[in-house]
Amino acid sequence: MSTHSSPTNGRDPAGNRADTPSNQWPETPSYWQFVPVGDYQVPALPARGAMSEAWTQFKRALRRIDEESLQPARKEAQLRALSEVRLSHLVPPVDPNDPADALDGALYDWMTGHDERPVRFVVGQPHGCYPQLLPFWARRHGARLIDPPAPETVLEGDLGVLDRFEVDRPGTRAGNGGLWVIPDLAHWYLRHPEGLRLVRALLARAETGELGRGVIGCDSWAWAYLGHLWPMPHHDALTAQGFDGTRLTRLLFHQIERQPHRRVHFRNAANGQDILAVPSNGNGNGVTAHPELQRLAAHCRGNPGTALTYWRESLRTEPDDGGVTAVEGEQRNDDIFDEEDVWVTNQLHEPILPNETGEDVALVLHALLLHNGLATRWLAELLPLARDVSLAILLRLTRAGLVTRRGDRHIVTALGYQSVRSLLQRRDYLTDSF
Amino acid sequence: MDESIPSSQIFREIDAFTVVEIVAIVLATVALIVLMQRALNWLGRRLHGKRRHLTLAMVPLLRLLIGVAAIVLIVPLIIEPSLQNMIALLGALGIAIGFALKDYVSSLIAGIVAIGEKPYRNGDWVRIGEHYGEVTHVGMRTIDMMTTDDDRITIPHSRIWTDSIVNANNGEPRLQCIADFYLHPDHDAARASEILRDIALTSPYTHLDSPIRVTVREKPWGTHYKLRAYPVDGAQQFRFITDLTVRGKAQLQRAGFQFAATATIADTGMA
Repeated sequence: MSTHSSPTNGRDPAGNRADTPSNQWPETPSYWQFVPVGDYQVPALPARGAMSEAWTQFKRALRRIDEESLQPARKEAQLRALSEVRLSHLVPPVDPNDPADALDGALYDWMTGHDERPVRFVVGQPHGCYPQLLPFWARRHGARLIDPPAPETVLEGDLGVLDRFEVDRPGTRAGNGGLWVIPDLAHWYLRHPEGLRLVRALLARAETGELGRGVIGCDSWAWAYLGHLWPMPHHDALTAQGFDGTRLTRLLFHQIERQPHRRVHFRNAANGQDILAVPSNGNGNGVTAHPELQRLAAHCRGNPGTALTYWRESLRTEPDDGGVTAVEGEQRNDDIFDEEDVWVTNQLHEPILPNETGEDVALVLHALLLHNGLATRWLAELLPLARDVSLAILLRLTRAGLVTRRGDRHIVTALGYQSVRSLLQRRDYLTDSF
Repeated sequence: MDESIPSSQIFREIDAFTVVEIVAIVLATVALIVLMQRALNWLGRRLHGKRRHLTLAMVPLLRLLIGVAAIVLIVPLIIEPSLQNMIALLGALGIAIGFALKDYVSSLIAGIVAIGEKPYRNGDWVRIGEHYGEVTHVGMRTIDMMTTDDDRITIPHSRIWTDSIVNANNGEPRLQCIADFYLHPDHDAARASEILRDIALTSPYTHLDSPIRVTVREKPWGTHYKLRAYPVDGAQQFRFITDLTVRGKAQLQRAGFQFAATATIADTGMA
């Protein structure tokens, strides 16, 4: 992987770098890297963090709810949340150009015809970047985006939807005319005896090349489930390498929209330590990961989407002003005139599932994750629960901040994801391999 | 030659302090056992899967160790711990037990054997005689089982001498469940097997990393299908079997399969 240059510079509206000749492949930012699914590495906790995490887990097992984690310290409680505008500057959404560049690098052989495999799979974790990434990548390469069928069509097993694929016949492979992209395979099946036919037919035809060349995105939970229905090509599938402390630090460092002559210090609200300073004294590539960021990366198991959400939610400011002070005396240099303190609180209101969570709740959450979100109607169809019971559970989980809506689908929230995953794993439900 | 041993040589002089000491050891042992049992049972109820089974299975072993430690502490306070004395004491005890407390002690010894052989542990689903249920407590003399009808049954350990113990999960958090389907003999067996396999694959209770198997046997009255799969947790077994049965029947009917029925048997003259 090559090193990174500024992620937002020099791109045309389609996302191609203006300074990149069309016959060359763009630079890959060093913190985005696509690797085979089996090579994914879950970031490890620093030793102290591991003990702290184990202690929290133990307390959670013993108590109905970890009250301590819900009580903000008095001093930290005085800090205020940042405005949405300020947050959008400090933690903007991930620029899809960066992972798209990395994906281009990983698919280079395949895109240039040196790899004859008809389809490539890209697996992503919930709240990772891939649902936005693949449509973006499809637009960049002029590929046809295949929308998922309606759940009714999935249940009918209507294979007519496969006719929507434009087959890339031999001899007509000029450019990427026949290339197609399925953003999320999780929406092509339902865990129902009649909801598997379509996805099996799709996978069979796609892997034999009957549908031409394409890229199939798949949520990591659906990938784990579909692996029991179909011999999924685990060694062929790509995923974004886990964001350990160092990658996460670099991501945060490059995410922030910088203001001229201002340095932003992200400081631990409990002890005042600098967690990250942007710009740093160096160029950013040599940024070392603070233990807090290592802990965050490990807690999120390398998922950049949930890590950014945690980071965003933990930012606070002083109640009076923005915490901006002018740099004086010897510390001042030609570039930096102002210093801004942004406080990072440890007292995050992370929704937590108590250990006594009922079985029905676990079934609902598991179904939501396996399908990357479900509408209420289909949830009741797939679970041995009455519709009213499913609805009541969803409402309770929504109020607890564990479930939210994306369109007509209910999904597990980014902040609640780790708690839900941990509960399902403890109870031996099928989980993703990340 | 006089081989009788004077009692004064077997037993020590027991003064008030020794009595207090023995009482203290007994009370401490009882308190420790009660505390340990409550703590591990309480913790076990909050855990799931293997951790739960391991925690609950430790209860009888720890109780035995505490009991043995107490005996080791008490015996030297009462008797002179020589080989001769031990033989005399154990012989007397053996005669008493042989006549008066045979069944009781048989259960106690069986309880110790059960700790070693592990025919059942806390959290296991076992069948002893006509009773089937989850082992909720392994005591010194008996085990407690909670049946599916929510009845608590107490069974002495001595049943392991005479009865076969059917253990459905044998210390593992999972156990195999079987849903039976009886179909009319005239059908596509391969298609029926596929449908039943998908039924298990799509049940929310299925532990997907465990095998799913469909076995088929031809009977005089039709075809008997057994759908074998494992639920995520042993406690889900009845909901799991119900789910497999309800959805399996519905799906087979939707696919046009006919079930074996008395009328069919009579019509074909195969009864």
